[in-house]
Amino acid sequence: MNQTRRSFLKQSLGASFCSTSVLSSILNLRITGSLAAEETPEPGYKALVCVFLAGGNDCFNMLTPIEGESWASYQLSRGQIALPLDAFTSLPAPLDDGRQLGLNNAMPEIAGLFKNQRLSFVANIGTLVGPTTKQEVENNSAKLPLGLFSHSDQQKHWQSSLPETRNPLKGWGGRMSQILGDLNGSSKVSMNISTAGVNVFQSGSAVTPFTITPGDLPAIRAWDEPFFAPRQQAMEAMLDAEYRNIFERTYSSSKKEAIEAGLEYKSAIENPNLGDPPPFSPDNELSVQLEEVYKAIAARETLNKSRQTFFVQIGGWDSHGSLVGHPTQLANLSKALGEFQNAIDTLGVADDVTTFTSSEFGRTLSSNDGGSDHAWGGIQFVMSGAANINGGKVFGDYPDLALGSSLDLGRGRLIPTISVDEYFADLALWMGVSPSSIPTVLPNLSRFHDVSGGEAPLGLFAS
Amino acid sequence: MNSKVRIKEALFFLGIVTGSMTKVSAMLDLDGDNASELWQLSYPEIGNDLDDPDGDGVNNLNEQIAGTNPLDANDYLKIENITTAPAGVFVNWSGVGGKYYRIEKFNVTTHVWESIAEMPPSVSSGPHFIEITHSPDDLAQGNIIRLNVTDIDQDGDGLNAWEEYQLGYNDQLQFTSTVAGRNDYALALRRIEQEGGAVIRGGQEIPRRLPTRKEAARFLVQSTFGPTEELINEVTSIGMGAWIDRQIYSEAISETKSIMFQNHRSFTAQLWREGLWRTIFTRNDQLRQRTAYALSQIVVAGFQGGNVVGDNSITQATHYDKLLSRAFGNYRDVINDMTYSPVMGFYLSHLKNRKSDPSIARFPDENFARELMQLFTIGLWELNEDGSRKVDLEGADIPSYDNETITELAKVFTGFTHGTHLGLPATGFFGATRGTDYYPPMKIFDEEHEPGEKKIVSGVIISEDTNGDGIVDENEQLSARDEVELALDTLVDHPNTAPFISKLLIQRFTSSNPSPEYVTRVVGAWNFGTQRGALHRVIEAILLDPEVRTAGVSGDQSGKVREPFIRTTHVLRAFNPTTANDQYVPLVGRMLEEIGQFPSLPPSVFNFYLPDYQPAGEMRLRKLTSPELQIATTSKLLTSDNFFREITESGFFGLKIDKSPLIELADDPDALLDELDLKLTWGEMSDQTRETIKTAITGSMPPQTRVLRALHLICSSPDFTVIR
Repeated sequence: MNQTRRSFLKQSLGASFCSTSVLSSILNLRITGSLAAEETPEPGYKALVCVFLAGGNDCFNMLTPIEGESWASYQLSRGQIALPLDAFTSLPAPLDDGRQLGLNNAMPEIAGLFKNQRLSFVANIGTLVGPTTKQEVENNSAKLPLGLFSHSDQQKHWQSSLPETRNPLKGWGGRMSQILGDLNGSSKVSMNISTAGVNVFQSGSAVTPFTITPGDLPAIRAWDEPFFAPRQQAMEAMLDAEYRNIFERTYSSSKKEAIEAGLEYKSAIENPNLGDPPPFSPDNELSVQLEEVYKAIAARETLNKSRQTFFVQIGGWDSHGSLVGHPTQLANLSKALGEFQNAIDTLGVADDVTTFTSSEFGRTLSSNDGGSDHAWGGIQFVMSGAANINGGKVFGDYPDLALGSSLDLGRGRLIPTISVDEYFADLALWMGVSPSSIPTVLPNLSRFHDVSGGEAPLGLFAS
Repeated sequence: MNSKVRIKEALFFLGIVTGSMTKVSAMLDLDGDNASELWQLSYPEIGNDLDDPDGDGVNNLNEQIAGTNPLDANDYLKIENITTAPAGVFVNWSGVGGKYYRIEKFNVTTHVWESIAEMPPSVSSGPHFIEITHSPDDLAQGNIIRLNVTDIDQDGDGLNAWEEYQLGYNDQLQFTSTVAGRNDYALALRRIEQEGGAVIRGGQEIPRRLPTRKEAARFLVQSTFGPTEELINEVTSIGMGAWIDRQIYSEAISETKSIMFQNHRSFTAQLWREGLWRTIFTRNDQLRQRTAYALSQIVVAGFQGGNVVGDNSITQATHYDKLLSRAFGNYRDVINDMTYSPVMGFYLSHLKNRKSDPSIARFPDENFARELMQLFTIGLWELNEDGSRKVDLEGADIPSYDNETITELAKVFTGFTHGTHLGLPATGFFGATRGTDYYPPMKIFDEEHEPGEKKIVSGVIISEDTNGDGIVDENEQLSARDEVELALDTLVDHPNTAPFISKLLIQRFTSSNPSPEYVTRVVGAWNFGTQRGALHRVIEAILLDPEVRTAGVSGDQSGKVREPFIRTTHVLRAFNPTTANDQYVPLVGRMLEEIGQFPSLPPSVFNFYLPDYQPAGEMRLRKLTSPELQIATTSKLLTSDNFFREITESGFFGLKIDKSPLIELADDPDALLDELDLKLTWGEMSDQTRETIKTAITGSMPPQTRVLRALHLICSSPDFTVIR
């Protein structure tokens, strides 16, 4: 298939394809920069946790049809990377169309959450410029996300929800936080916290996440101690000075913010009233990050937060060479999320915290011998408290896994039938972004869903 | 037109415009005083800009701009006469070769001087004239007209026409000489540095100009892992050009494989890292090492542990040493070596990549093919020679390939296997292997190499079915190796590759946001001659460029944030480091955690940071990139401050800096700061930073404390972190 050039077609009926409207709504945000007059967000606390699986999760070995024709298609398409039947545990009930799915056995915690209606899957989801058919792709009339199948581009598109932008630097989380930020009290610590460095999801024009390294509270050693005073004064003078060069200015202001935020964060997290965190596995790369998220949620009141977003990331999902390690990765993912949800439950905020996965793409159904290559549509999942989320479901349409299907662009690269915009819109509405502000956060949504009446595209949350 | 224009009633006077024509100072100005070194070397004693030693009424600055002799009272810019003829009005003056003259009229409505006639630079001095053929209105009574002289750089090579004229170069060509492969700026710089001085136009001799200590320090900060006293002395005594030659043509090429066995402690993954660390601190081929490190950040193959590569130091050394050996060779050879390296084969999974078997839905692994295009050669988007993106009729970027190209190219990189199986030369694709089989280059075997056509970029069809009979027969099918060669040739020769890779290299050495002119000059060096992609020319063009030899010339967006790894080696190298038992042990885990970098251990094939990362705030608004700030996260900004403090206080695992000469200076804070400024901030520490630090070290305290405090604060400062 050919990746279509971004040719500027005439207006199509219905949704507008004009990119200037996208940019102008973002510019509007810069001008207003805050809650619109009609914002009436709910009081209380909400947190959104993005778990990014970097590399592209081979999700069709995670949630798989295990009976009948669909099982046969799976086996045929995946060849030597297909898993045997006993690798899966059946979901409690079949899909509406009768197909029975199974969850990879490596994920008992996820199975339990699903069974207790605290977790749902979303299939078949990916970045889309607009609804796209195979015919349109094959005759080059479809507009496709730029850099489709490239890690760096698709990670950015998953985090920015701007599939037609060449180098999106700002994410939908950043835009969302510019709107919701007014709900928070004053604090030097950003409402956006990341354990995985700077990321596009949480970036805005003037917004950068507060980053933490798991296990480590960043601070200048001996800051505020009496013997350090001459150095501290000198450092403060340097950080307050004016610089002749933009790199110096940017470095200096970033460092100043880091010091101030670090001090505030440290005292909030080390507050003895918080008690000890529940157990998190110290050798699980995701657990250690989620432990920091837990701590920040536990300290939300000291940090003056009514709304928070978190970004955690684990890599190694780019299984070109081999899928032998995939079940272990799924097991670690499941274990970490189980530990995290247990910890959140102890805080009594289960219904206020929603965790959702993202990954830059699914992988080819067909193998390259031991592994799989970059593809497009895939499966994600969302978890929260049972009263908050419509759990125990598979949202969207679980695709046909036969090669050559109406969604297959070759090698089992499937066109998504749900766009990331719809997924994120459910999450943003839940966070309290008003329907009228959703287009600012997710400019591309209007090509899939009309949100003006307040209806969420997918219905992930109980109203 | 009425030729009897009443010229005498128009006012004429001479206007002289200061400064240069283009936004980047086109001039050989190494000390940043906005005057050409050629001028200053021609008249070394004339002193201040506003003086007028020959008393001709024109001060030195204006004589410089006009190109006239400041010591000759008869030589200054003046209009000789104005004559009229039926064709027009002629303004005559005695002009200087290489200067650009215009007649300008003052627009009384807009209050702006408008050019109404011009004379481009001529190659010789002598009678000049401009013919004004404008309407009589322009020359009517009451109009104010002036003759304006400025410099101009017509070919964009960084030397203005006057300088080129003085040196006998051509201001219409970036490369006047086809012999050396150096553009005119680099040639000019070398010429003024050469022994015995130089002879310029008119037989005038100008004295030799070697770099000052500050200029040398700044140059070494850009080109090495940190300036030392010895290196500063070397550059100040032979010049930057000659130093580059020594670095390029030295036969003592570092090999981490042999170096890592000095003081061999144990055979572990750590061994290579120690070898690299020792190489950085003890070996003199610093420019080669910087180049290899830069290449390792472009053609990325990570050495993460827990696998057959990451746990084997000889495997790692064999791979990295290829970058060292090819650093001043041809980029095509770099790509060749990396393609056949089993480390790369393992990292991007084209090792043991098998041909298609549609019956079991198995197809070639696309990983290497994708990154080869996206990151190592042509990049995602079509580029102009100046590094900017081409756009289509609607103004959108143009992709340089699509996913189908990747699928096709992936077929080329099939059939790769280890060079040896259990130590014996491989005779087929399949075979048992062990760790040492990752040392030799990979081999390709037809048995698992995908036959048939592959349509790749630039309209190239590998193994084309030329007779169109639907079969690729024996005459049409290239051998596996030839297919790889053709694919690599096509990609490296693609017009994108020179600007794409040049810009990435510029970012590693000198500048995060090079101007289009700078990129064009470096691409000119890449494309020079018949052997395109000669890295020794490219690296020299990166360093000997007006944009980076004159500090701050691109305004407040000049320069870059320096990599934390290089800042670390800089501060450790600057003060005669020594180790306790001749051990060079980098604590790699700590470096990754606290400063975010160690060579060959980036988090992914996308390196430590992205080349187009724009930090939030002012930089993003102005669309300026700073890759290194992507890893300056909240936590790293603070942990790295602690890190620099620790390594200056107590060294880094046995590697200690020698503070005794600094302690000797400590009683005189200014003397101490002068030395630290030269060694750590290349003599360019800002006044305000200096004042702040001086305050912190003034007063009664042990000299040791003064030194430690100053070292920490300098490492903390933006002046140390950023090079303009």
